[in-house]
Amino acid sequence: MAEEAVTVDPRSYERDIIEVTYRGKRLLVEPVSPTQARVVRLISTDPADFLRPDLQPGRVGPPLR
Amino acid sequence: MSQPAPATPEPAPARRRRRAPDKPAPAPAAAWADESAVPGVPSNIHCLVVVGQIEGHILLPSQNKTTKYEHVLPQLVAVEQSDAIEGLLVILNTVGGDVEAGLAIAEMLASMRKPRVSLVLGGGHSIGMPLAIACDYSFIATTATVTVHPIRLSGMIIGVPQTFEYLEKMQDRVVKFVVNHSRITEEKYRELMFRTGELARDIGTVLVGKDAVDVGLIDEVGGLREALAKLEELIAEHKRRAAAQKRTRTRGVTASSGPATQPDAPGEPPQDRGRPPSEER
Repeated sequence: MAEEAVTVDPRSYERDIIEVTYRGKRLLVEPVSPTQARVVRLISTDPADFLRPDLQPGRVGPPLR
Repeated sequence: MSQPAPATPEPAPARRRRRAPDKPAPAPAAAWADESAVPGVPSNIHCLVVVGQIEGHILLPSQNKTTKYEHVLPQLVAVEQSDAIEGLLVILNTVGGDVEAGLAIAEMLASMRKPRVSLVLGGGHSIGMPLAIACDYSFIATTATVTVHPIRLSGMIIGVPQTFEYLEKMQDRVVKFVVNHSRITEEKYRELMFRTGELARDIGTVLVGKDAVDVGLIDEVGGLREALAKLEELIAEHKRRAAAQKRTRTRGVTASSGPATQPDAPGEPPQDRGRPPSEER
Protein backbone atom coordinates (compact mmCIF):
# COMPACT_ATOMS: atom_id res chain seq x y z
CA MET A 1 0.00 0.00 0.00
CA ALA A 2 2.86 2.30 0.81
CA GLU A 3 4.57 2.04 -2.54
CA GLU A 4 1.47 2.79 -4.61
CA ALA A 5 0.69 5.83 -2.54
CA VAL A 6 3.95 7.41 -3.48
CA THR A 7 4.87 8.25 -7.06
CA VAL A 8 8.37 7.12 -7.76
CA ASP A 9 10.28 8.51 -10.70
CA PRO A 10 13.60 6.66 -11.03
CA ARG A 11 15.37 9.77 -12.26
CA SER A 12 14.41 11.65 -9.14
CA TYR A 13 16.48 9.25 -7.03
CA GLU A 14 19.57 11.07 -8.21
CA ARG A 15 20.12 13.77 -5.68
CA ASP A 16 23.10 16.01 -5.72
CA ILE A 17 24.30 15.78 -2.11
CA ILE A 18 27.38 17.56 -0.84
CA GLU A 19 28.93 17.77 2.58
CA VAL A 20 29.40 21.15 4.23
CA THR A 21 30.34 22.46 7.63
CA TYR A 22 27.78 24.87 8.95
CA ARG A 23 28.06 26.52 12.35
CA GLY A 24 30.67 23.96 13.26
CA LYS A 25 28.51 20.98 12.40
CA ARG A 26 28.88 18.62 9.46
CA LEU A 27 25.84 18.57 7.25
CA LEU A 28 24.89 16.79 4.09
CA VAL A 29 23.02 19.29 1.98
CA GLU A 30 21.52 19.45 -1.48
CA PRO A 31 21.38 22.67 -3.47
CA VAL A 32 17.94 24.12 -4.02
CA SER A 33 19.20 27.30 -5.67
CA PRO A 34 22.61 28.62 -6.69
CA THR A 35 23.01 30.22 -3.29
CA GLN A 36 21.03 28.04 -0.89
CA ALA A 37 20.91 24.45 0.18
CA ARG A 38 18.51 22.18 1.99
CA VAL A 39 19.72 20.07 4.89
CA VAL A 40 19.54 16.35 4.09
CA ARG A 41 21.35 14.92 7.07
CA LEU A 42 23.21 15.99 10.18
CA ILE A 43 26.38 14.08 11.03
CA SER A 44 27.17 14.42 14.69
CA THR A 45 27.78 12.35 17.78
CA ASP A 46 26.23 14.87 20.15
CA PRO A 47 22.58 13.98 20.75
CA ALA A 48 21.73 17.59 21.62
CA ASP A 49 22.58 18.64 18.07
CA PHE A 50 19.66 16.60 16.80
CA LEU A 51 17.24 18.76 18.76
CA ARG A 52 18.45 21.98 17.19
CA PRO A 53 15.86 23.29 14.74
CA ASP A 54 18.42 24.95 12.48
CA LEU A 55 20.04 21.60 11.73
CA GLN A 56 16.94 19.56 10.99
CA PRO A 57 16.68 17.73 7.67
CA GLY A 58 14.51 19.68 5.28
CA ARG A 59 15.63 23.03 6.56
CA VAL A 60 16.52 25.38 3.74
CA GLY A 61 19.19 27.85 4.48
CA PRO A 62 22.85 26.92 4.65
CA PRO A 63 24.40 29.26 2.16
CA LEU A 64 26.37 27.78 -0.68
CA ARG A 65 29.56 29.41 -1.76
CA MET B 1 68.86 60.32 8.42
CA SER B 2 66.38 62.25 10.37
CA GLN B 3 63.01 60.73 11.03
CA PRO B 4 60.27 62.10 8.84
CA ALA B 5 57.83 64.28 10.71
CA PRO B 6 54.60 62.49 11.59
CA ALA B 7 51.88 63.15 9.09
CA THR B 8 49.41 64.14 11.77
CA PRO B 9 50.31 65.82 15.01
CA GLU B 10 50.17 63.60 18.07
CA PRO B 11 46.93 64.15 19.96
CA ALA B 12 47.25 65.63 23.40
CA PRO B 13 47.35 62.86 25.98
CA ALA B 14 43.77 62.21 27.02
CA ARG B 15 42.73 61.75 30.62
CA ARG B 16 43.11 58.13 31.65
CA ARG B 17 39.80 56.48 31.21
CA ARG B 18 38.95 52.90 31.99
CA ARG B 19 38.60 51.17 28.67
CA ALA B 20 35.42 49.25 28.20
CA PRO B 21 36.16 45.54 27.74
CA ASP B 22 36.41 44.64 24.10
CA LYS B 23 33.03 43.63 22.80
CA PRO B 24 33.20 40.81 20.27
CA ALA B 25 32.58 41.93 16.74
CA PRO B 26 28.88 41.64 15.88
CA ALA B 27 28.04 38.39 14.10
CA PRO B 28 27.73 38.73 10.34
CA ALA B 29 24.20 39.23 9.11
CA ALA B 30 22.50 35.87 9.16
CA ALA B 31 21.92 34.16 5.86
CA TRP B 32 18.55 32.79 6.85
CA ALA B 33 15.59 35.08 6.88
CA ASP B 34 14.06 33.91 10.14
CA GLU B 35 17.12 34.19 12.35
CA SER B 36 15.64 36.72 14.76
CA ALA B 37 15.31 35.18 18.18
CA VAL B 38 11.70 34.43 18.90
CA PRO B 39 11.05 33.85 22.57
CA GLY B 40 10.26 30.19 22.90
CA VAL B 41 7.54 28.67 25.05
CA PRO B 42 9.36 26.19 27.27
CA SER B 43 7.72 22.82 27.47
CA ASN B 44 8.57 19.84 29.60
CA ILE B 45 7.59 17.42 26.86
CA HIS B 46 8.94 16.86 23.41
CA CYS B 47 6.85 15.94 20.43
CA LEU B 48 8.08 13.53 17.77
CA VAL B 49 5.99 13.52 14.61
CA VAL B 50 6.25 10.43 12.42
CA VAL B 51 5.14 11.45 8.95
CA GLY B 52 5.06 10.10 5.44
CA GLN B 53 7.25 7.11 4.87
CA ILE B 54 9.78 5.67 7.25
CA GLU B 55 12.89 6.02 5.15
CA GLY B 56 15.21 3.06 4.99
CA HIS B 57 18.71 2.79 3.69
CA ILE B 58 18.00 4.59 0.44
CA LEU B 59 17.30 8.31 0.29
CA LEU B 60 13.89 8.81 -1.19
CA PRO B 61 13.25 11.50 -3.81
CA SER B 62 12.89 14.89 -2.22
CA GLN B 63 9.17 15.32 -2.91
CA ASN B 64 8.46 12.49 -0.50
CA LYS B 65 7.70 13.24 3.11
CA THR B 66 9.86 10.96 5.14
CA THR B 67 10.80 10.11 8.67
CA LYS B 68 14.54 9.79 8.77
CA TYR B 69 15.66 7.21 11.28
CA GLU B 70 19.21 8.57 11.30
CA HIS B 71 17.86 11.78 12.77
CA VAL B 72 15.16 10.33 14.98
CA LEU B 73 17.38 7.83 16.78
CA PRO B 74 19.90 10.38 18.15
CA GLN B 75 16.98 12.67 18.94
CA LEU B 76 15.54 9.96 21.15
CA VAL B 77 18.92 9.67 22.88
CA ALA B 78 18.86 13.41 23.52
CA VAL B 79 15.30 13.23 24.84
CA GLU B 80 16.18 10.33 27.14
CA GLN B 81 19.25 12.12 28.49
CA SER B 82 17.93 15.63 28.88
CA ASP B 83 16.81 16.71 32.34
CA ALA B 84 14.52 19.37 30.94
CA ILE B 85 12.43 16.90 28.95
CA GLU B 86 10.12 14.86 31.11
CA GLY B 87 8.07 13.00 28.53
CA LEU B 88 7.62 12.32 24.84
CA LEU B 89 4.49 12.55 22.73
CA VAL B 90 4.74 10.60 19.48
CA ILE B 91 2.26 11.68 16.84
CA LEU B 92 1.79 9.40 13.87
CA ASN B 93 0.42 9.85 10.41
CA THR B 94 2.41 7.48 8.29
CA VAL B 95 1.93 5.11 5.37
CA GLY B 96 4.60 2.78 6.70
CA GLY B 97 7.91 2.21 4.99
CA ASP B 98 11.10 0.36 5.72
CA VAL B 99 10.53 -2.44 8.21
CA GLU B 100 14.00 -2.42 9.74
CA ALA B 101 14.13 1.33 10.19
CA GLY B 102 10.64 1.26 11.65
CA LEU B 103 11.54 -1.50 14.06
CA ALA B 104 14.74 0.34 14.99
CA ILE B 105 12.76 3.39 16.04
CA ALA B 106 10.13 1.22 17.71
CA GLU B 107 12.69 -0.67 19.77
CA MET B 108 14.35 2.58 20.72
CA LEU B 109 11.00 3.98 21.89
CA ALA B 110 10.15 0.79 23.75
CA SER B 111 13.43 0.78 25.65
CA MET B 112 13.33 4.35 26.92
CA ARG B 113 12.75 5.07 30.59
CA LYS B 114 10.93 8.36 30.20
CA PRO B 115 7.15 8.31 29.83
CA ARG B 116 6.01 8.12 26.22
CA VAL B 117 2.52 8.34 24.81
CA SER B 118 1.62 7.87 21.16
CA LEU B 119 -1.28 9.28 19.22
CA VAL B 120 -2.28 7.86 15.85
CA LEU B 121 -4.00 10.44 13.67
CA GLY B 122 -4.93 9.93 10.05
CA GLY B 123 -3.06 6.68 9.50
CA GLY B 124 -0.72 4.38 11.30
CA HIS B 125 -0.22 1.85 8.58
CA SER B 126 2.15 -1.06 8.22
CA ILE B 127 5.22 -0.48 10.34
CA GLY B 128 3.59 2.63 11.78
CA MET B 129 1.58 0.38 14.04
CA PRO B 130 4.54 -1.13 15.91
CA LEU B 131 5.75 2.45 16.33
CA ALA B 132 2.49 3.42 17.96
CA ILE B 133 2.41 0.53 20.39
CA ALA B 134 6.08 0.85 21.35
CA CYS B 135 5.13 3.67 23.70
CA ASP B 136 3.87 3.28 27.26
CA TYR B 137 0.35 4.09 26.20
CA SER B 138 -1.19 4.50 22.77
CA PHE B 139 -4.19 6.46 21.55
CA ILE B 140 -5.97 6.43 18.24
CA ALA B 141 -8.27 9.11 16.92
CA THR B 142 -11.81 8.03 16.01
CA THR B 143 -11.21 8.46 12.28
CA ALA B 144 -7.63 7.23 12.19
CA THR B 145 -6.88 3.92 10.51
CA VAL B 146 -4.36 1.22 11.14
CA THR B 147 -3.61 -1.34 8.46
CA VAL B 148 -2.40 -4.78 9.41
CA HIS B 149 -0.82 -6.61 6.50
CA PRO B 150 2.10 -8.89 5.74
CA ILE B 151 5.48 -7.37 5.02
CA ARG B 152 6.48 -7.07 1.41
CA LEU B 153 9.83 -7.39 -0.27
CA SER B 154 10.99 -5.76 -3.47
CA GLY B 155 14.08 -6.35 -5.46
CA MET B 156 15.69 -9.43 -6.89
CA ILE B 157 14.07 -12.59 -5.58
CA ILE B 158 15.83 -15.94 -5.81
CA GLY B 159 13.38 -18.71 -6.66
CA VAL B 160 14.16 -21.12 -3.84
CA PRO B 161 12.08 -22.21 -0.85
CA GLN B 162 14.55 -20.47 1.41
CA THR B 163 13.22 -17.15 0.15
CA PHE B 164 9.88 -17.94 1.73
CA GLU B 165 11.54 -19.05 4.97
CA TYR B 166 13.43 -15.78 5.03
CA LEU B 167 10.21 -13.85 4.51
CA GLU B 168 8.57 -15.80 7.31
CA LYS B 169 11.45 -14.99 9.62
CA MET B 170 11.19 -11.30 8.79
CA GLN B 171 7.45 -11.40 9.32
CA ASP B 172 7.91 -13.10 12.69
CA ARG B 173 10.06 -10.20 13.88
CA VAL B 174 7.17 -7.82 13.42
CA VAL B 175 4.56 -10.21 14.82
CA LYS B 176 6.66 -10.86 17.93
CA PHE B 177 7.15 -7.16 18.53
CA VAL B 178 3.45 -6.41 18.18
CA VAL B 179 2.38 -9.27 20.41
CA ASN B 180 4.93 -8.36 23.08
CA HIS B 181 3.86 -4.73 23.23
CA SER B 182 0.09 -4.97 23.01
CA ARG B 183 -2.85 -6.99 24.27
CA ILE B 184 -3.46 -8.83 21.00
CA THR B 185 -2.80 -12.55 20.71
CA GLU B 186 -0.57 -13.96 17.99
CA GLU B 187 -3.44 -15.99 16.50
CA LYS B 188 -5.66 -12.94 16.24
CA TYR B 189 -2.90 -10.84 14.74
CA ARG B 190 -2.09 -13.44 12.10
CA GLU B 191 -5.80 -13.78 11.31
CA LEU B 192 -6.02 -10.03 10.72
CA MET B 193 -2.86 -10.07 8.67
CA PHE B 194 -3.98 -12.78 6.27
CA ARG B 195 -7.58 -11.72 5.82
CA THR B 196 -8.65 -11.32 2.21
CA GLY B 197 -11.39 -9.12 0.85
CA GLU B 198 -10.81 -6.00 2.92
CA LEU B 199 -8.00 -4.31 1.04
CA ALA B 200 -8.44 -3.76 -2.68
CA ARG B 201 -5.01 -4.87 -3.90
CA ASP B 202 -3.59 -6.37 -0.81
CA ILE B 203 -4.09 -8.88 1.93
CA GLY B 204 -4.85 -7.63 5.39
CA THR B 205 -7.26 -5.69 7.54
CA VAL B 206 -8.15 -2.04 7.93
CA LEU B 207 -8.95 -1.08 11.50
CA VAL B 208 -10.64 2.25 12.05
CA GLY B 209 -10.40 3.98 15.40
CA LYS B 210 -12.26 1.86 17.91
CA ASP B 211 -11.66 -1.38 15.94
CA ALA B 212 -7.97 -1.09 16.71
CA VAL B 213 -8.74 -0.80 20.42
CA ASP B 214 -11.23 -3.69 20.33
CA VAL B 215 -8.70 -6.15 18.89
CA GLY B 216 -6.19 -5.15 21.54
CA LEU B 217 -3.63 -3.30 19.45
CA ILE B 218 -4.12 0.28 20.62
CA ASP B 219 -4.90 1.13 24.24
CA GLU B 220 -7.59 3.77 23.92
CA VAL B 221 -9.57 5.93 21.54
CA GLY B 222 -8.71 9.56 22.07
CA GLY B 223 -7.19 12.73 20.77
CA LEU B 224 -4.71 15.33 21.86
CA ARG B 225 -6.51 16.17 25.08
CA GLU B 226 -6.49 12.57 26.26
CA ALA B 227 -2.94 11.93 25.10
CA LEU B 228 -1.55 14.94 26.94
CA ALA B 229 -3.51 14.13 30.08
CA LYS B 230 -2.16 10.59 30.04
CA LEU B 231 1.37 11.81 29.44
CA GLU B 232 1.16 14.20 32.35
CA GLU B 233 -0.18 11.42 34.53
CA LEU B 234 2.70 9.14 33.52
CA ILE B 235 5.23 11.90 34.14
CA ALA B 236 3.87 12.49 37.64
CA GLU B 237 3.94 8.75 38.32
CA HIS B 238 7.51 8.47 37.01
CA LYS B 239 8.65 11.33 39.24
CA ARG B 240 6.92 9.82 42.25
CA ARG B 241 8.60 6.48 41.69
CA ALA B 242 12.01 8.05 41.17
CA ALA B 243 11.65 10.03 44.40
CA ALA B 244 10.55 6.91 46.28
CA GLN B 245 13.52 4.94 44.93
CA LYS B 246 15.87 7.69 46.01
CA ARG B 247 14.35 7.71 49.50
CA THR B 248 14.65 3.93 49.85
CA ARG B 249 18.21 3.97 48.64
CA THR B 250 19.24 6.73 51.04
CA ARG B 251 17.50 4.99 53.91
CA GLY B 252 19.19 1.69 53.06
CA VAL B 253 22.68 3.15 52.83
CA THR B 254 22.51 5.01 56.15
CA ALA B 255 20.85 2.10 57.99
CA SER B 256 23.26 -0.61 56.89
CA SER B 257 26.42 -1.19 58.87
CA GLY B 258 28.01 -3.20 56.13
CA PRO B 259 30.88 -2.12 53.94
CA ALA B 260 30.40 1.11 52.06
CA THR B 261 29.10 0.45 48.59
CA GLN B 262 28.89 2.57 45.50
CA PRO B 263 25.56 4.36 45.29
CA ASP B 264 23.43 3.56 42.27
CA ALA B 265 23.44 5.96 39.40
CA PRO B 266 20.23 8.01 39.58
CA GLY B 267 17.34 6.40 37.82
CA GLU B 268 18.76 2.90 37.81
CA PRO B 269 16.91 0.12 39.52
CA PRO B 270 18.31 -0.50 42.99
CA GLN B 271 20.76 -3.37 43.09
CA ASP B 272 20.03 -6.19 45.42
CA ARG B 273 22.42 -5.79 48.33
CA GLY B 274 20.66 -8.11 50.69
CA ARG B 275 18.36 -5.43 52.05
CA PRO B 276 14.72 -6.38 52.37
CA PRO B 277 12.94 -5.30 49.17
CA SER B 278 11.24 -1.93 49.39
CA GLU B 279 7.47 -1.80 49.28
CA GLU B 280 7.61 0.45 46.26
CA ARG B 281 8.52 -0.89 42.84
